[in-house]
This record gives sequence, structure tokens and C-alpha cells, in this order.
Amino acid sequence: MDISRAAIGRESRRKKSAGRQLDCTLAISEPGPGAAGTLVLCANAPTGSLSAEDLVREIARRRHAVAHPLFLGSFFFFCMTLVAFAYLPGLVGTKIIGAINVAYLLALAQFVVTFVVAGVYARWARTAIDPLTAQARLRLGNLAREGR
Amino acid sequence: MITSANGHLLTTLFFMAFIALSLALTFWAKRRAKSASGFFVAGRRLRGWQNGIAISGDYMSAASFLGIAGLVSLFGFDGLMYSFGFIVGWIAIVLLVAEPLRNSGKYTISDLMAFRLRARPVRAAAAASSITIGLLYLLAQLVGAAAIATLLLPIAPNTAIVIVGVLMVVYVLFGGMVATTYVQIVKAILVFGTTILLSLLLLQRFDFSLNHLLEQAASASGKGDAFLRPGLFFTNKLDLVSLGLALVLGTAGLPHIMMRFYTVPDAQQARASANWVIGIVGTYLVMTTILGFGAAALVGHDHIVAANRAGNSAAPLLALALGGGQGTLGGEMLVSFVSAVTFATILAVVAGLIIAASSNIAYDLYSQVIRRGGSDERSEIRVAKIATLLVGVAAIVLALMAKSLNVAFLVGLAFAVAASAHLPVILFSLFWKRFNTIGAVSSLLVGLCSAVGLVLVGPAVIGSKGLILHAVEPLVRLTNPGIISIPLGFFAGWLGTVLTAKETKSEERFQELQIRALTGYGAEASETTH
Repeated sequence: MDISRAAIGRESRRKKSAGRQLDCTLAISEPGPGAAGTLVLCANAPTGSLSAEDLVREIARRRHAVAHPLFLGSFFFFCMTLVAFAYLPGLVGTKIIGAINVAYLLALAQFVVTFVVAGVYARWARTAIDPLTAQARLRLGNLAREGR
Repeated sequence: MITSANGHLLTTLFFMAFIALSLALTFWAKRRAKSASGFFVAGRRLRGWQNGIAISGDYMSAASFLGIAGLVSLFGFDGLMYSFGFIVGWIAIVLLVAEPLRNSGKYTISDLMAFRLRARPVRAAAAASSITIGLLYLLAQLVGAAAIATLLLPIAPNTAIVIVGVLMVVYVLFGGMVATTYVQIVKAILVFGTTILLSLLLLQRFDFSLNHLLEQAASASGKGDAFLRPGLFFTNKLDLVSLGLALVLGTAGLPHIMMRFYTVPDAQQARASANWVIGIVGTYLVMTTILGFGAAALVGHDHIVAANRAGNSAAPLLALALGGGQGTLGGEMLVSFVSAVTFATILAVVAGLIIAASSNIAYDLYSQVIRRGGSDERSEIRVAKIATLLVGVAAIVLALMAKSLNVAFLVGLAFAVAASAHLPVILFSLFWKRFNTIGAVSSLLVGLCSAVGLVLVGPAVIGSKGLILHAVEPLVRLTNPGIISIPLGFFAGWLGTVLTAKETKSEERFQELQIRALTGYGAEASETTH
């Protein structure tokens, strides 16, 4: 999942750098053979094919695929660290560099994980979520006006 | 600890300067706090970075600046639990809660909880747990203020509690969230700067070698390598896991932190503020742990315990040592400055807590539960101001009675209540279609009661180390209830929901909440003018 997403990210950047007319900031790829299922959403292209409902579903799907595993992964790492501190004193007491031991490095690793997760998420949300939410708000606004 | 008249004069001067500055800010902010959204959430016009620094200020409380450094200086590695527990909690906020919360609510976290469900029972139950958390946190700060005051200033602890409490009520009454936020920002910059300065001075003593510092700390502690390993503070292993879980899962349920996400214009700015917090607080927390080891190495166990048995004076004592030692101008300047900054930190954190509790009372209880949403803005603000007074007075009285309670324990308990009562309702609301009102109320009540109840029958209250019944064995051996009460809160929410009938309105509104939480469509807009 993550690998294919990264590939999509690269592809969309390549499209930009190739100087195409459309500003394609994101792409939706459905898992399946070939590129048949690939739908490219461009910021300045008419995207009549996606309804507001589809957009919301797509945002939910993406958050579920990226934000939730990121949370569960870091939470699991934290829990494992707690268990190691409580029940594996021999392991965490092993010295690595001088007086600096595994316990201290695991504690520092929590900060590193938090920084990295926050950074990765912010980058991802900016490119994969924000354009979609802007689109969705526009659509929903139009729908509300038509309904009135 | 500070014995010279010079030292007292310096501390008082620094302290007065900060009070003057913050009162000036309050006066300036007064004209911007007229509307309800101005009073509660600063008109939703703060930038992400401003809000980020203000939230960071909430974290740079007495508990973290004095508490963590103190724990590390006395118990070594175990003190670090608080530092990295505080920071990892932000992963849940930034990934799951901050943006949906900003999109779907108005003033408090109860807005998100009540969005799909029957508002009155949910808000009433959420207000009970929110106010409990607020009071526990307030108590911790005021008790901390009393402990420091006796160390740093020539005033009695009771006087300190009353002064801090009264000043705070004044800030909040006149300046509302705008003043509170700017006071918090100024203070956060002061504390952050002080921490960097102390860390640089400290590391310079050890030729910028962390290894050298840790070695020195371990040998000076008299406990050798055990000082750098877990186990000196948490003698009950399960307590370490329990506190860790409470810290990590509780952050996203703290009312006074989460309500700050309503002070920014939109979800993107909410995300930005969370990232600012992670950057600033992360750096700050890493440094506080170094300071703790520094105090162990340079001040020494005996001196720290002699000044304060809980270790709360480790950071100021380290400042004294780094500035040149007792009796030197450098040492007294530095320790006075650190003391004044610490006092400032308590003032600002208390103001934020009071405003959160008063919005729970004025908005959740009065406007939404009692008046069923039918009150006007002016009466809301009037009730908020009365509530500010009441909460302030209640906190002062409780703090005067509970001076002997441990600061870190109170904060850990507040996190446990937040994780057990609030987090289940927030997550179920956002992600579980079937969730209903009875489930939410069960989660809130079971989470709150089990967390508080387990503490009441635990070693902090009963038994040889507790407050009462010294001859009796505590019923549970856990100091922090998290590992039992958090699963109980989630389980109660699930059970309450599946045992009762489907709630059609809740399932319909789930769709609406999803749209609003995910896209921000229909979210509360910021005020255009003040």
C-alpha cells in the first residue's frame, strides 16, 4: 500500500516536472492489473466525474489507509518499549556507547518517531488530502445552493 | 534555598516584571474578548504557529519543568517516562483528533461528542469528567506554586496559592482566551529560552559529551548503572506500563489542550499548530531530561532532597550551580530568573485551565444542558465569568487543603481520566456508525468513576504511603489506574451501545459528522472583526 502510494507520488511529480499543462497534484489508483483503474485528478481540470459523496469516501479511505496505520504502528512501538522497560531489564541495560544504554536510546527513539510521523503525515496530508477537501467543500457548497 | 536578601529582591523584580507585562497584555486583549467566541476561542483568528506556541506553553508547566527534572535527578531513568509519554501522545492528536475536532466543534471537546448523540446527557456527563480533569490539573499547578514559593520567595505557601489564584481569575475575567493565549506565548518563549540556556551551560561543563554527563550523574547518584536503567522509581512494573498508557492516550482527551484547536481558522491551521507543538515541546522535553541528569551530577542527591523531598527544586538548584554557586552574583541572577520564569509558567497554565473549566460550565452545562441551546451570547459570557470566579475560588480552597499531594501523581491521574472517559467517546463518535448515546454516557461515567475510584482504593490514598488508613493494605497496588480504567472505558462504550437499541438519529448524523469532520464543510468560521 505505502509503496504504491509513494510510486503514485513520484509519478505525479514527474508529470509536473515534464511541464504538462494540467496541474496534477494527486492521483487515485485502484488496486488492479495495469493502469486501467488509474484515475488522475487534476486541480485545474474539470472533475465532473467525482461527486461530493465520492470525494468524502475517498478522503475517508485515504485517511484509513495512511493515517490510521501510522498511528497504530507508533502506538505499538511505544507499547513494546514500555514492556521492554518493565520486563526486559537485561536488554535495556545493555550499554551501547559509553554510559548510553539501550533504554536511553529507546526513549530518544520515541521523540524521533514522533517527529518523523508528524513530518510524514503533514507532507502527505498537504498533497493527498488538502486538495480533496477543498474540492469537496466547493461541491458541497454548490449542492447546498442548488438545493435552496 | 535562596537565603540572601539580594536573591529574594532579584526574584521579586523578575516576577513583578512578568506580572506587569502580562497585565498589560490582558488590558490590550480586553477589547478583543467581547463576543462569546472572542472570550472562549480568541475569535478563531490565531495563526497555527501562535496557537502551537500557546499549547506548548501549556506543557511547560510546573509539573514538567520542575517535576521531570526533579524525578530524573533523584530516580534517574524512570523520570524520563513523563517526557516521552507527553510527546508520543501528540501522534494521536495530529493523526486522528485535531482536524476532525476543529471541523466539527465550536468551543469544547463535548461538541464533537454531542454531535451525533442526544446532546444533554452526553454534555452533562462530559462536563463532569472535564471539570474533574480541570480541577486535578489546577490542583497540581497550585500545589506546585506553593512548593516553589517556599523555596524561592520569602512568602508562605498559603499566600502563594492565594496570590496565584486571584491573579489568574483577574487575567481570565478581563482578557478571556486572547489574553490567556498571549500570556502563554510570552511565557513559553521565556521557558524555552531558559531551558536552552541552562542546557548549553550544562553541556559546556561536560565538553558537550552526553556520555560524560551520564557517567558523572550515575556515579554521583551513588546507584551506579542502575541510575541509567528503568526500575528505581516504578518498583511495581505494571505501574510503569499503566502510567505510560495514560500519558499517551490521555493527551487527546485533555479539555484545556483540545479546546485550543478552536482558536485557529481551519483544520490546516489546527494541523500546523499540532506540528509546532511537537517540534517545540519535543525539544523542550529532551532538554528537561538532560537538566535532571545535570542536577544529579552537579548538585547531588543530598542537596536536592534537603531542599525539597520530591526533588522539585532540582532545576533551580542546577541554575544556581551553573551560574557560579551559592553567594555569587551569576548564580543568584540565574536562579532568580529561573524561579520567576517558573512562577510565570504556573500563572499562565492556571489561566488556561480556568478558562477551559469555565467554558465547560457556561457553554456545556448552562447554555446547552440547562437552557437547551436557547441562551444568548451575553448571558453565556456572564455565566462564564461567574464560573471563572467559582472555579478559581474552588481551586484555591482545594489547593489549600491538598498541599501534601504529589504534583506528578495529580497530573498522571488527570491524564488517566482523560484517556478512560474522553478518548473512547471521541474515537467511537468519529469511527463507529452504530455508537449511541447510552454507549457514550457509559464510557464517560465508567471511565471517570473507575479511574478516580481505583486511585481512592490504591496506594496513593490508602496504606503506608497514602493519606489515610496507614495500617491497611491498599485494595489495588497500582498508583496510576490507566491500565484498568482505559480498557474499561472503551468496553463500557461498546457494551452500552450493543445492549441498547439502534439510534436512528445517531446513524444519520454519523454521515453528516463524517462529511463535516473530513472536509471542514460547515465548520465554525473565524470572526472577521473584533
